[in-house]
Amino acid sequence: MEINHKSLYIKTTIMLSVLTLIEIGISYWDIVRFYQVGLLLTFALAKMACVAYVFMHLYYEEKVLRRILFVPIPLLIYFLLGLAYDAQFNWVIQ
Amino acid sequence: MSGHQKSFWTKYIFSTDHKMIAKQFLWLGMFFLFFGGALAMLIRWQLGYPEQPVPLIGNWMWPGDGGIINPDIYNQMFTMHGTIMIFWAITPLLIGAFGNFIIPLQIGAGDMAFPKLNLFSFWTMFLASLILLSSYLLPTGTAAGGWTSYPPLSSPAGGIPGLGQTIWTVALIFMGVSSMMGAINYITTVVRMRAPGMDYFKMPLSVWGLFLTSILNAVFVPVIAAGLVMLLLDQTIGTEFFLAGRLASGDPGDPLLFQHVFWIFGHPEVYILILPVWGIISDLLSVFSRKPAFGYRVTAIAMCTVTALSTLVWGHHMYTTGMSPLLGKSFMFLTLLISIPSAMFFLNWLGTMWKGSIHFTSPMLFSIGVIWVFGLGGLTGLYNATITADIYLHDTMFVVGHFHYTLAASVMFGSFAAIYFWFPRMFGRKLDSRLGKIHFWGTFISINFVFFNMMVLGYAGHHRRIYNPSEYSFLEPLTGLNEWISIFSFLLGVFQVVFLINMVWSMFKKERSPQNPWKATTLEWTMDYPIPHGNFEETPLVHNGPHEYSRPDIKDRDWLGQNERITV
Amino acid sequence: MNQTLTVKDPFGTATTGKLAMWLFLAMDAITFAAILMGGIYLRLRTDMWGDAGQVLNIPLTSFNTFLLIMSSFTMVMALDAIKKNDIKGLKLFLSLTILGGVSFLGIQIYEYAHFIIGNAELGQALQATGLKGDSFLWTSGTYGATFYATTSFHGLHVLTGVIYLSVIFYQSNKGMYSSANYDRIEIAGLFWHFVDLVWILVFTIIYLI
Ligand SMILES: [Cu+2]
Repeated sequence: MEINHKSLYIKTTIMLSVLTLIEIGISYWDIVRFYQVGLLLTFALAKMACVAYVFMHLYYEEKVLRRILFVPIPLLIYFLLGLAYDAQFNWVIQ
Repeated sequence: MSGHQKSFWTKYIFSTDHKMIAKQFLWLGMFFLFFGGALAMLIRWQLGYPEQPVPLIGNWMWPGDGGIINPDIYNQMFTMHGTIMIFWAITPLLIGAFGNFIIPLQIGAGDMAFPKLNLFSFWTMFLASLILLSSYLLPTGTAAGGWTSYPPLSSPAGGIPGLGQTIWTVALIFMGVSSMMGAINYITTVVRMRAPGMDYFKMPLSVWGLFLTSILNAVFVPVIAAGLVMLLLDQTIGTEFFLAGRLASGDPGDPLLFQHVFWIFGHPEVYILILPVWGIISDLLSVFSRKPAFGYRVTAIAMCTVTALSTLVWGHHMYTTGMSPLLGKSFMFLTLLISIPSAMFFLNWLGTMWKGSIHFTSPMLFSIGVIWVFGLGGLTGLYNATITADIYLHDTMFVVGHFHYTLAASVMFGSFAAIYFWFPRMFGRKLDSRLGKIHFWGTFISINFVFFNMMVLGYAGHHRRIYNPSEYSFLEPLTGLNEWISIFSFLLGVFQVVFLINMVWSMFKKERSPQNPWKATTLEWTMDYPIPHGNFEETPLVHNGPHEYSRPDIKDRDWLGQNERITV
Repeated sequence: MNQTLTVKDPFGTATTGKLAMWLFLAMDAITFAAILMGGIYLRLRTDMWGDAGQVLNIPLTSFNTFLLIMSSFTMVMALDAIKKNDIKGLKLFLSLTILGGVSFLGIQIYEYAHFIIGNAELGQALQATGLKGDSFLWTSGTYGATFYATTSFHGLHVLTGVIYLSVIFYQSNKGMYSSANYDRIEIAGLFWHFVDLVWILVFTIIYLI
């Protein structure tokens, strides 16, 4: 793993900046709200993965650590789904 | 480790030795156990003998009211009873004291992975206790919004007046920080510090229980911490996360959000408290049946499954909030699913005892007690998990009876079993077994009378937080039962004094316990008392599983230590 | 028969301190997630919420995002430097990282001050979302409450990170680190990158969505 990290770091930094710019662009883009939110979250996740894998060296850690750290993500999505469903549910029939 | 002299302060107060920190947690937990117990007695007095002066202490405590517990004080009592018992009695006793004491010893480690973090964890907890108790000094009294502290009851707008509720929130945040430090420490210790040969499936089930508890703590205490911080902002700087309707000045928030956040944490919290008990008694049943634990792997995996499932079911506390039927049914299904793995290790406990040569020592009696009370608590849980039944039973004494069976009775019995079992390791002496038997039978009979009949009350419609049951005509036929429950709960209190006497007396008696009085196989029994700082003179090598009892290939004794090898 | 006993340690080379930091970060991430989920829940129940750029200043905050990304970059460069035993580089990049953090905090304070003092223009923007008043406060509906709770919690993390890195800087000034001993820098770096990582999510959810 003792390759030249510097260029990788620079590339990642540029990548993060570009992705941020695209994100800002999407937020002003007038498209269906559902796709907008989906796109923004996808980009955010991609950026977070970049930071975790490159800057936090998760890529070089053991597989188990990586897997364990990903366990909370589906859990949080589950919570979010439950909460969101309950927030929007209304007994009053319109 | 040894060699340099230690002052009183570094040895007893700011010690980094996990065994000393365990004892500190033990005393903190015992203090609050009796404090919370006293509150329970007072609550029972009000319910059994409504608005009559409390004997002995009434005139001294509340001279203004003629010794009667007034409604405000009553609300504060059940709030603090719940809070103290869950967060300041059970948590320090099981997780703080026994987590600290047995994890390093049983996995063959010299200490925790981060001894200083351990020290901070205790003192943060201590600070939290002081903050909590300080709320009693306020003129408006302490928190009174129930242990769940649902807004708007817990918000200053339209809720409990005064600072008590705010101080409660701050104390709980500190307590959460302490738990998180503990969780980091326990998890890294189990992952990193196991002795050579100690595979995950050679760990005693107690360690499994405490390990899973720590994982749940790590995942869910942050959730409640976030919720409590939002609540604190509501209480102090006027945000409106949880205020709605007339209480909100502008755009309304939602009190249900707090319930969601609270129960996302709150349901796993139940398992945080009971997982150590499951582990401990799985081990103890094996020790005192002189048989390997039946289905060791199944028990460990079933405990993991319960841990995983427990994270998914928080909504079963909110069936009556107008939740959508789809969500309600999903939560019901997932909750009922938990009974499958629970039944697995429950049957394994019975399987361990089956045809064993059972020694009815005090820790064994309490372990068998856990089987009984947890069985009842678990079965009544099914009623609460079913929407149709729960809509009727919600917020009645039935729920109180149910969760006291699982939490109070099971966890208390588990803690007692642990204390009786590991007392020789902590203080070098055995607890008196005759007093232990009196303690067990007294506690067992009175606790069952109290909580079983609470469920009967609830089935008749007795609401869980009413101040004076005699004000409702439909509860009149239950007056006698209420009174009897109170009498038995006082008895329950009296039998705990027996235990306290036993503990203090045994600690100072001359007669020392042998090194391994129960002939147990796990590593904590392999050294002399007092266990030195650093525990093991040389790192033990683990050759066997934790339950090597009555092996046919060993002739002269019926157990084989985890660090021993058979010489044929 | 002389069998050697070992413990299977799936976490391999990670030091115990690093493992503990990862655990802490996981817990911290869940805290953030809980606050953000609360915000999402509240948002789904109300219309009084600003769209992207309506109330919040996106160009300014984008610059802040850029600052954090850059400081993350300088942080890995600092680690890279000490791995090559380059103390000078370590100190240079550490101070750049700290500078990035401090500037981030400065801009955040400016942003807060701007909202708290308020002006007619801000008042109009708020009006469009249904909120009253000329200034955007934590009492401005659940929108304000969520905005301030999330960003200030993140700001506290940046502050902690700045203090943490300053301690590391002080220690490296005293010559505590070398290419053989840089575990603490790596751990501090993990915390700092995490602050960046969380900001990405906060920025997306609070500012852009
Ligand atoms: Cu539950």
